[in-house]
Amino acid sequence: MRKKSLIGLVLVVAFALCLGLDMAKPVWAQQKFPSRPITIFVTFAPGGISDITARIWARFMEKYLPGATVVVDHKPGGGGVVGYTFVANARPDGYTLLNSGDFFTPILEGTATYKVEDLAVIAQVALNGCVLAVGPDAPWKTFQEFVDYAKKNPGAKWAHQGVGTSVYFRTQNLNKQAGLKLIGVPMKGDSEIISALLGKHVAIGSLSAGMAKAQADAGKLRILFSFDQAKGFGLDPSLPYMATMFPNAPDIEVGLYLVAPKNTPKDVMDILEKTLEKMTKDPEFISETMRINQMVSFVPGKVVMEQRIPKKMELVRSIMKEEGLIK
Amino acid sequence: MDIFGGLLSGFHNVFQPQVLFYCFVGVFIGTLVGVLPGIGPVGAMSILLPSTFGLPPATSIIMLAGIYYGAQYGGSTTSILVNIPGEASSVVTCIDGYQMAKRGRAGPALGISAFGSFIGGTFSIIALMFLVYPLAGVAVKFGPPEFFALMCLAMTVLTYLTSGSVINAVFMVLLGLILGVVGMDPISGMPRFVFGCTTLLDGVGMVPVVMGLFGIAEVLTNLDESQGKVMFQTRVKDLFPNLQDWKRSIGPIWRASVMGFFLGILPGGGAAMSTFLSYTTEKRLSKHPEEFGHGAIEGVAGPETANNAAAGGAFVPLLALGIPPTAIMALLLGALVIHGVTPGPLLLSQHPEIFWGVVASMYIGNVMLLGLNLPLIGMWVKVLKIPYRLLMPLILLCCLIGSYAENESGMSIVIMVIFGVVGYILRKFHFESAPLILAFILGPIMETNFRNSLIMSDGSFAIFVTKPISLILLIISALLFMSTGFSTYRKTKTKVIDESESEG
Repeated sequence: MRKKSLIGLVLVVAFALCLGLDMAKPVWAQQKFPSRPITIFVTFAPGGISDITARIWARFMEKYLPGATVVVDHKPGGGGVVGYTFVANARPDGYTLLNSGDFFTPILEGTATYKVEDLAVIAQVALNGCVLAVGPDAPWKTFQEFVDYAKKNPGAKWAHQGVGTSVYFRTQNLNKQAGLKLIGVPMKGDSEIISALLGKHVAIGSLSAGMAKAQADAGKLRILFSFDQAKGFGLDPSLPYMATMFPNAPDIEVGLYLVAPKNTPKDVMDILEKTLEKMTKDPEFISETMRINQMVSFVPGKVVMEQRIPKKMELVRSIMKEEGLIK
Repeated sequence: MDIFGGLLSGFHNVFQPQVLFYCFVGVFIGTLVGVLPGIGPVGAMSILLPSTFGLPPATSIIMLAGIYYGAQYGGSTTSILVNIPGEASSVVTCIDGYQMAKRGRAGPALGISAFGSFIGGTFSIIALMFLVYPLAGVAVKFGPPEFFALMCLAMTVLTYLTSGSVINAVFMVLLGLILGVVGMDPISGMPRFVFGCTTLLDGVGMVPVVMGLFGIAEVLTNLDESQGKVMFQTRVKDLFPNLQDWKRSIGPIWRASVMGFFLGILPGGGAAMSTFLSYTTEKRLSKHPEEFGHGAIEGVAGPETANNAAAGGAFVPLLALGIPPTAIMALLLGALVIHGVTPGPLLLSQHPEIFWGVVASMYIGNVMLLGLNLPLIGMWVKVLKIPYRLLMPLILLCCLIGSYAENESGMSIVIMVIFGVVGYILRKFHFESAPLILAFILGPIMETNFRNSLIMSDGSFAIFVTKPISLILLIISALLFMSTGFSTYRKTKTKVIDESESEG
């Protein structure tokens, strides 16, 4: 009988140990972050610029986060809403992340079920370059010429990626500051904008720097204006940009962030933020980013959440109110 | 630009074991993906994209492109065998293809579809080689007014797709248009009829609707009719098209190649549109139009050739201008960018090996696909011998996987089931689903372009008639519309006269 109770005791202790270990697992897992593949979700279809950006980030994150596997997955739809909602509701363990630009537009429009606080920006990694370009036969060789034309001819048409996109609001902001009365024609993406410019269906277009540069190098488009200082994005440094032409005007930078759901444990967030910070100092990462005409620009998550995003939200909200998109 | 020199160098680069292997992998996966309903080439391409990172750019594009045009070959298989289209561009093949299968002629249907795809694909590559630069200029001439006019033309011919009552087809078209409204407004970005459901923000979704209307409805209809039946009990006589089939199909194939290629160049629904334009053209030109809808081989040969020719045509804007006309091409563009190649007008001069490599690989890929698909016909036809009680659950499973795989959203399955029931009811009342699907796809394109045209013209409708291409297309649509109306009027008049005479 002693033997039996000894065996029983051993079994109970073993069982208790297992239970204990199981409960301790989250703590262990935390200490060993990352112990599983990390997935960066992209809110647009594969092959687009977001996808390419996320894949570059994934590669370099693996380099600076030892033992990590980072993969890219897609949750397109609703102009980003599907992806933002998905990550906002995901488990906050640091394995489900989001690559996005400014995710607050659906909140302002009222189509979002999440709030700004539901997403925690780990850091801003880069800025997306946007430019204004015209077709090859257009009569304006400098942006000033176009501004003069637009002032004399209110109602000139410009092509954009769709109401609600960051590029749209940025350009509308410029319209307001410069006093241009342009009328926007929505297109489904940069490719359609380029087609419209080549086919002379619109006067000017607002699109991402990468696509525009490829065309400009072949002489098919003429880039007149870059919103950010052109040099950092691999563009012609002599291009005028917001700060030179409109020195005191606010601008809406198109930041690209890595985002986690709120309540992700602080040490996980810190590990990720430090990884991103190291990544953004890597010269190879900088040149890869410039190759797709974005500019590396690291901003800690706290600064983004507390300063940048609220400021941008106000600006976008005022534009939306003026256009009657919201009351 | 030395075309033959370039092509020879392209072939030289492609005839390496590694490149040939990846080309084969691409077309093989493409065929599989095309056969499985719901899982489209975009999904497969994006999953396989990371595996191409270690490869040279030309090879990775060759593989991804292979998936794309391979899927066009495979898409017809399920359309013919079980009336479930694998892609939007295979919807029209269901109409006559399935009827042929029901009459024991699945083999010839599959065969003519494979041969037609081969001829269409090869034709479009040859045309691509010679015409890529001049044509790219044409593609950009199509702005919103021209697209709207093209959509008008497409809408007009949608009514030809039906073998039954034209009024029923019009009703289906209207229903399709209404369905297309759900989602985000293309101009203002505001949600319409979304009822707060995030999944509906991008529209009801083509895949669940097609799976429901064709797949689930098919299963329900068969449950209704049969008890342990098999698709058909007669022996499958020929596995390949006979001489008679070829004689009837040659004309449609050539016409569809040309039509498909040119329509594929245009952004948007080029491939799908070319299939039903081909179908209606053949129906009009045929000496036996009443056969259409009951197993006319022209109704399979034409559309299947057209969608492969359109796949080739879609490469024109991508390779010549760096502008992808469809989401799939955009993915190829992304793949090129990831490999450090910026596609644009300079692609040919900066990276001729990619341009010619892709062109050469498409010839080889098409040959591989023909070799893959023809022997499989015997196997596919055996699928029809599977008793219903096994076949239907299999179809159901494929539909479920297909509609869920797109978005991982339970909502898609709900939509699919709803449309399954709707499709069942529609069939009971002799309504056909094809016009509904096509109107559902084309409606939003039509609306966006109409509204954009009006924005561009500051509200004036004159823009549609002052632009020459738009004007021509609108005139053709009007003529077609009137001629349909006129012939229906005459038929009704004759019927009334006959009836009154027989009573008298």
